[in-house]
Parts: sequence; structure tokens; C-alpha cells
Amino acid sequence: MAPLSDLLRAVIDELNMGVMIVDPELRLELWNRFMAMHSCRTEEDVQGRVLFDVFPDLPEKWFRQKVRSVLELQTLAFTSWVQRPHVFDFAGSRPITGKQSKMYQDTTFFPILEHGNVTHVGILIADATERAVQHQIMHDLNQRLSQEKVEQQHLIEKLEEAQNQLLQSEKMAAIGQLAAGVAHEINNPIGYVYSNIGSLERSAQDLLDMVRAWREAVEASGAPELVEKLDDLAKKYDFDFIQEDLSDLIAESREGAERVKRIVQDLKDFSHVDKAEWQLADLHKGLDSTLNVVWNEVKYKAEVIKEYGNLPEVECIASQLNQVFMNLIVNAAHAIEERGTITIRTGCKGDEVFVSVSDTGCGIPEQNLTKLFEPFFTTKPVGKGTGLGLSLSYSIVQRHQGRIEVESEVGRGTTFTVWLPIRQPEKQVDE
Amino acid sequence: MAALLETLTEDQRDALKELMNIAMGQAADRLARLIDTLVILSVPSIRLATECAPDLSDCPIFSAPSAYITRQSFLGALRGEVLVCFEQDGADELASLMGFDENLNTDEHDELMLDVTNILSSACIKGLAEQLELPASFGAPSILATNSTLFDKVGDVINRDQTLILEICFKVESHSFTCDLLVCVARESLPSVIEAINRMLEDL
Repeated sequence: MAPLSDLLRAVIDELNMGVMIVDPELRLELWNRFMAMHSCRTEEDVQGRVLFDVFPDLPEKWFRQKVRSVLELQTLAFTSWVQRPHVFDFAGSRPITGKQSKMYQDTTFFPILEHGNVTHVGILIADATERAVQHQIMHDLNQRLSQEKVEQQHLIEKLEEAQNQLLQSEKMAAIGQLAAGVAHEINNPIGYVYSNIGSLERSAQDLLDMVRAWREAVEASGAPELVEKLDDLAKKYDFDFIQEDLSDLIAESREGAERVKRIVQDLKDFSHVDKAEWQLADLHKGLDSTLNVVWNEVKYKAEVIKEYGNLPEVECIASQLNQVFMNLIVNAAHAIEERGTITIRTGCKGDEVFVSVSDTGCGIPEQNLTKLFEPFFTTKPVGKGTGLGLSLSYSIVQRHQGRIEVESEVGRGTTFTVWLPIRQPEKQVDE
Repeated sequence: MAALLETLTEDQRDALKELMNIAMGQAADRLARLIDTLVILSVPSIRLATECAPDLSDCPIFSAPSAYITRQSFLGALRGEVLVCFEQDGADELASLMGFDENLNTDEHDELMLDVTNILSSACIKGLAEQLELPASFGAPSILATNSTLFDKVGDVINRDQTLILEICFKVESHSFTCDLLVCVARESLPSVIEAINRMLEDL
């Protein structure tokens, strides 16, 4: 290789970059001070030695091909710290403040021509640690940002869900209020109708007794024309039938009034406008009143089988749980196309109780099982379902620190099981 | 300058094509020697960006999806960038030829593509620069995009400029490897290119 002038040598030594020159066999011919400093070997040490002796960790095959491309194509070749951070094993360039134990490097291979032929290859090593560190900071920041974005998205979803719940619960509250109002209005008239029926029954009985007494008195008096007259009248007014029918009529009216009273009471229990707070409640009572409220939706579709176990009183917001039961029962009825059965089971296991609603309906395809509790997910025709029922139920049960399990087989039916703790853990009650 | 481009005659265009073919022949020869394997470099089309379909996205090479797109600048009197479009496996088929081990990790996979980009653009641009007698130097290659199309990445940039686009197809049949190169010569270099072509035409 042609000798360097003193000036050029001085410049190369002062460069803040590693400069090496190798011959086509990769024997070192030039080694500047940067290289000596970072490799802890003087130029005399390495002069004439093959590069791979000095840096045994260097991947030889790849490196040779790189140098060959410079020789053959008479052009530049590069490595970047991004893909290959530490081509040469140099210590980090920030010994105090840096965490990087090794120097990040960008290298450039360049041809050195003499009379138009490449005789040597120059290798430049630039310290890219600073950039790599900046990049790492940016990368971390980016990752944090995208993570925060995901969290935000999650929060937005939760907010949407909460808003939906609010909407739904306001709707339910309005319906509840309406129901309670109607119930109250009906309660008064049905109250006096019911008590009047009692009086009516007694009075009717008295009347009948009196007529019978009269007849006995007339028969005892021995006046045959009077007896005959009474017989004619009894025949004319069909007294025997009246006598028989009157008590039936009254009994039926009483039963009807009783049913109205019960429905009114159920509506009141169901809406619980006055009791939207944590209380100890009998879930069976809630289930029964819910069943009565939705009876119209269910009775033409299914036979309802109750398999109630022994349940202690459960700490809950009863009106909310009634909403859950109503959803599950109505859904069960909707799942049944022609006619089937809905089985409601309850029971107690450890410190949890369960209420399960099974139907013999169409079942839920597997791909829908994961989406069941998502807000606005519905398979019902437009206008039939809001897609909020199960998501609302889910969040109500979650608020009760419970869970909903689903088992379903397409064509066989579905079982929803609500598990609830008997007593709420402290934290939840405070909320 | 626009006037210059509009008057690019049939002769000039043929000359440019001829010049490209010579340059690519030399480039293929150099590459073959470098990787000890027969390679094919063909030039299916030469055109100005303004001549492409009104919408660049109608242009097949711009609209075809690429798994990876790399780029490398060439600077000097001949200025521009080379864009290389790789298929799903990048340049993995060429690993052994480029001195890489089998079973590449992600960084090696990327580096191999950059190495292939470098030798391809070096060989092609060097050939072109020699034919045009214009000096050219190189910047380091980098990865421009993954799973994208040229149109998405550079469509609007190229459209704005009067760029000379040379499509080059690179094949290594023995390793069933193929990729497309787009040599884009920037408008400021076009007068020099046309001057060189004219010189060549005069010599005939």
C-alpha cells in the first residue's frame, strides 16, 4: 500500500471513528488510534495479522463476503447498529451514565483503488451508541404510549358499557315506577272488591239460609197452597241452581281477586322502587314473583319446572337480581321454538348459592358463546332484542361479586347458572 | 427541464434502453462473480413517472403488494433512489450465497435483505453511472416498509416529481429467487442523463 503522508496519518488518528485498511486476504495494514484505544491493541500488535485473529468473534463467512462485494463491485457496503449492533466487541462509550455495556456501531466498507483496481478495503466504524440509546428511549416511550392507548380504549369501552347500563337501568327504573304506580292504583279498588267479596259471601249465605228457614216455617204451618206457591216460585227463579251457582260464583270471584292482588304484590316486589339497596333477600321469592311477571311470555312456550334447593337469605340488591332472573327466563322462553321445558334449579355450595335456568331450546353456536355478554350482541330479529339483557345481567352479577356460567349444545338447549356469594365482601358493599 | 423530458424522442428512448441493457449486463456479470451463481437482470420498462397511468395505483409494479420494500440512495451527479420489493421470505433463499448461516433470526433476515439491496443497487447504479460517465456514491440501505405496496409508500412523492423510473427484474434461478428493483432517477439528474444519451447517439 502506498505510504501515508504525516498530515493524513495525523488526521486519521484524530478521527472520532475507527479506521482500518485490510488487503483482499483481510490482513490488517492500517489501524488508527480509535481502533487501538477501543481494542486495547497497538497498531504494531495487529499489523499484518488477519482480522479474524484480532477479533475471533467476528462471523468470518459473512464478513469475507462483505469485503468481497466491495472488491468485486468496487463500491460501498454497510452494516447498521439496528440489525447488527456490535460488529466489533468494543466497550460501551458511556462508562458512567450509560447502561449499554457494548458500543453500538455503524460500519462502512469502502474500496481503495490504485490504478483503477481495488487493492484494499477500508473499514470505517462509527459509534452509534448515542443514537441507539435515543432510539431505545423512543422505542420504550412508544411502547408505553401504545400500551396507554390500549388501556384508554379499554376504559372507553367500559365507559360505554356503563352508559348502556345506566340507560338500561333508567329504563328499568322507569318501568318499575310505572308498574309500582299502576300497582298502587289497582291496590285500592281490588282491596275493597276483595273484602266486599268476603261480605258478599257471608250475606249470600245468610240469604240462602233465610230462604230455607222460611220454607221450613211454611211447611210446618200446614198450609198446602202456600207450600205449592213456594214451589212454583222456586221453580220460576230456578232456586236450586242459584243456590248451587252462587257459592261457585263467589269462590271464583274471590280467586280472581286474589290473583289480581298477587300480581299487584309481585309487581311491587319486582320493581322494589323503594328498596334499591343491599338487603338480605329470599331468592325463591324473587324468582317466583319474576316468574309471575313474565308468565305471559312463558306460558305458551314452556312448562316451568322448579327444582328449588335450600337457600339461605342472600345479601343482594333484590330488584337487580330479579332483572337477571327475568332476562334468563325470557331468553329461555325465546330460545324455545315450539314447546319445551324451562327448569329452574337453586342450591347452595360452600359460601355460594346458585340459580340455574335451563331450557330445551335451540342452543347457542360456539362462536357466539364468547360474545354473549357483549353489549348490543343479539341474535334476535331487529326490534326484538336490544342486545343489552345479558350484558346488563353480567354486570349486575359482577357487581354482586358473582359470575354467570353458560353451557350450551346446539339443538339441545342452554343452561345459564348464576353463582352468588351469600355475603358480600366488605369492599363491594361500601361501593 | 420539463421541455427536455417531453421531447424525449423514440431514438433517445431506445438509446436509454440499450444503455440500460449494457449496464445491467455488466451488473449481472459482477453479481455472478460475487456470488458465484448465474443471475439474470432484465429491464422490462423505462418510463417517466408522469407517463405512468394517471393513477399510479393502476401501475402493476406500484400496486402489487410486497412483503418488504427496501431503499438505498445513490448520490452525486447521478442522484436518486433504488427501491427493492421482496416477497414473503425476503432474501432468505440467498442466505448461503451472502455468507449467512441457515435459520436466520429477525435481525439477520433484515440484514440479509439490506445486503442484497446493497449489492443489487451497487451493481446496477455502478453500471449505469459508468455508461453515463457520471460519478455516483451511495448511502446506506434501509427498510422502507413491510407488507405494503409501493403506491402506499411512495405513490404521492413520485407523482409530484418528474422522475425517470427504470424497472429491473432480478432473478437467481438456481435458488428460485426473484425480486423487483425500481431505479428512480431524480429530476435534477435528468439533464445529465439526456446529455449522455445524446452523446451516445452522436457517436453512432
